[in-house]
Amino acid sequence: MVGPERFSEEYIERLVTSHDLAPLPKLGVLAFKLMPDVVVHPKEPEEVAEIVRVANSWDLPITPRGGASWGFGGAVPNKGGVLIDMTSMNRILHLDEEKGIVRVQPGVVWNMLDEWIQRKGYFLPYYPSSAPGATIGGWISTGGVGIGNYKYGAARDNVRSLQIVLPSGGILDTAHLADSRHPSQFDLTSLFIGAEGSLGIVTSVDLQVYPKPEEFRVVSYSFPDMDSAYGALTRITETKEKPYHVGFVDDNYFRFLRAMGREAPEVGGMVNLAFEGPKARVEEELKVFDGVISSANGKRESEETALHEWAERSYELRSKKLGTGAVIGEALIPIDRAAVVARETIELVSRMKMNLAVNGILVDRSTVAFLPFYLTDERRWIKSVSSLSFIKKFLDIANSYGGRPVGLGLFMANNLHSMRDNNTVELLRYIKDTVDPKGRINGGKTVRMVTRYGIGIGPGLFRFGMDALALVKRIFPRDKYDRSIPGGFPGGEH
Amino acid sequence: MITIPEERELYACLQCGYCRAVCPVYVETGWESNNPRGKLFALKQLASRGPMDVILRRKVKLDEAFKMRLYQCTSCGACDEVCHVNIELSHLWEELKEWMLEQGYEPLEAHKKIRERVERVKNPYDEPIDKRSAWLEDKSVLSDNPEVIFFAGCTTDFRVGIIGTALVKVLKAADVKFNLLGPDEWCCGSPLIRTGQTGLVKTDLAPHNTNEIERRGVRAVITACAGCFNTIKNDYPKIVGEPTYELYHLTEFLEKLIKDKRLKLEKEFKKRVTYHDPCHLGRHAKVFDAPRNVIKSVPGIDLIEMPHNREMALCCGAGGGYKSAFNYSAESIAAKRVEEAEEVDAELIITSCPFCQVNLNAGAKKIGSKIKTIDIVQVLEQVI
Repeated sequence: MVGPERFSEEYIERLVTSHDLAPLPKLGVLAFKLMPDVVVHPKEPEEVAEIVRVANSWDLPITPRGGASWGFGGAVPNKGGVLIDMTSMNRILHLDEEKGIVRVQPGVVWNMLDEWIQRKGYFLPYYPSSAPGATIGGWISTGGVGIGNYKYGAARDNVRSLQIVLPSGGILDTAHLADSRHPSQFDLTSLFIGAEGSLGIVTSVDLQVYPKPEEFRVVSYSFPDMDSAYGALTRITETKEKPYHVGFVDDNYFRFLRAMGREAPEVGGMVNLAFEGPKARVEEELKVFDGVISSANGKRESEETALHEWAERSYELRSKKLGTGAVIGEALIPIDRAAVVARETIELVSRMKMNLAVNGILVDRSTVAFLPFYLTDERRWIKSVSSLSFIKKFLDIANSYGGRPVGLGLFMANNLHSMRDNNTVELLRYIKDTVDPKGRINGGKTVRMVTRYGIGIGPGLFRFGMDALALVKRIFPRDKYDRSIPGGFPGGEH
Repeated sequence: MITIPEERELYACLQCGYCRAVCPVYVETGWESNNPRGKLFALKQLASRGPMDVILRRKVKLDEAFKMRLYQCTSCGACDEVCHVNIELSHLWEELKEWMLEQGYEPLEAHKKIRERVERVKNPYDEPIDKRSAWLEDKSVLSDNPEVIFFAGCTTDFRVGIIGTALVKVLKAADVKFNLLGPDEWCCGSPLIRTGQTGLVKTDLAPHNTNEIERRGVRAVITACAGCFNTIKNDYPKIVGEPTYELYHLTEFLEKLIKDKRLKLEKEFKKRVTYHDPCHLGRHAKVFDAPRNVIKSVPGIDLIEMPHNREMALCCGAGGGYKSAFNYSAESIAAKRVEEAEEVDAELIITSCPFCQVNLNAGAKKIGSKIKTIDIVQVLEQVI
């Protein structure tokens, strides 16, 4: 299987793999056995398969873990067991220059692949905003919404084949390389993308890469208010041309940064665009969008600002230190509902006496990935824990306007009911239970939420708990930070 | 409850894991507890007490395992460069090591030995004090009225004397009057500061070295060692105040000599070379251009950058007391850097730190690579 140098039962190793981005309180262990019993580091698919078979024979739950840069508990055990740390499977295996397909192990970090592929003269146009930390396998398992989606589609649209270790310990390839673009049976590749590691463990990935573009340009436009910015986003989607990437941040995002002592523009919002392709084409597109956005009240900012905003695309939570804690919500929302969802979310945080900033990206012509985050003080645990209810409340707002969470994992699995109809929920559970009858790999996540005792938490109970926490949060005074926010916060006391 | 230094930094960590991919020890070992994110999470969990801890009166318990992880660090500072929330991680690791020792934990055995040796013979190599500057056979080159003092550093003095002899040739060619501190030079204290043992540096080493330099009345000091340079530049002012002299790293001084036309590089050096940024010179002291400018001044040389360079240069694996405690792993880290030089078809690695030089050569040997690492001044001595 794996040697002792890649197997650990040590407390510290189990401790540091018992979490992801979510600041779960220590009390979380009452519901979930977050700490694995053992941590293993396979390097080859056969080792993963062997680990799965051994875990099966010992009746141990299995949790595959990539970069753990998500916040919904997908990479965290809920019932202890074996944690398979996939980050040692970090080799780039092969570049097929003729087909433009690169084969990588799932533990490769996106930034590393991007650097490597650039050196080979290619372009990796889609990657998560968390590319410096996220792994290939992890992002694909969460659906792959991020940078470059607007033009090139999500990771889902660019994965040609996956190698999977099934819950039985068997290994399969989802597509044959020769027909990976044109599967003639069920599209097995798609089945495993976005499955959040609940149907098997990804052990290699074939990704489409593209020729390096002749030109790459970024531009930023500021707006007097966010309503204008959302209006501009809608106009962008109505334009025939497609920028490579469209991102936005609101005024509060910059307020947080200013409170940190960083320089940030005093604007009502900012939309950032990136273009790539032949030089003449890029120039043409720039002209088109200059016109489109100025007619939507946008003002083109300096090149220096645009380059800075682009460089910061992976650093949207710089201001966490202001509160010491930051929690991010993620939802996909129809573009024509973005402004109203934003408005209602701001009303929600006002009622909950919190402060919130929003950033996001256009993922296609009709959908915006809306990523609000609030700052909290993790050291004040009652306030901090009760604030977590915001995420559920925000997703309820998103859902009421046709939106959905970006993922479910462990903590948001109950949202499945509000996202999909009963028949779909049943089919999804049927697929999970058929592929993994004993719920071995990431059991009790994604399609149902199960505690360490094997007891499920239904949507009613979950909603009741979240409502109670939200109520607790409203009893406390409004959130404040050690440093005041220059110019105050809308609706706040700073 | 234990009060942790820089508690705010601990809580500020987002756990994004951007530091994972750039941490040389993590890349080498693969264990989450070895990377900055893991260490911060472990400390936060070990040191914070939830309501159940309060009810059950559980005490905070740090342990040897955590201490070991804290020392599994090369002090390279790559984590500082990528930190999402701008935590000054290098500084934090040093504070935490010092704090753990204050809590009664012992340093690692190898590091304890270093402190004992420095206490006894003023160098970490356990060499006799009077062997300092033994690499310089002809003492007549030393000036009584020097323009600069060459702070040789323990590694040059006791392990890589060829850097000293090369520098002497270059200084002579440029007609620079210089002297050494000789037996009056003590360890700068870098290995002690990086391993949390700062006491001796504060009470003895920094004041002594500063006095010895200043009583000679020179206006400039040069160091060939990136570790000495970083320590004297960034740590000494916090201990002994601002210096009365100007501190140059060797590469900065050479750049100045070339610019002022005092040093003429006449012969050709026809090799394809790459430059390895020492962490303590580059990331910590922000000296990136001087060494490159010096290399580019050499006739015939072909300088090619490795994929990771300047702020994002890979670490050689030797720093922060890592080589002394975990030599095998340190050499494996060095081997990865040598492989990068091979990837760009370099014939030679040039660096500007004797400690990097020693470890990169050890790394090359480990993987059977023919690429040698030499100091920048060893190139210059061949072209004057």
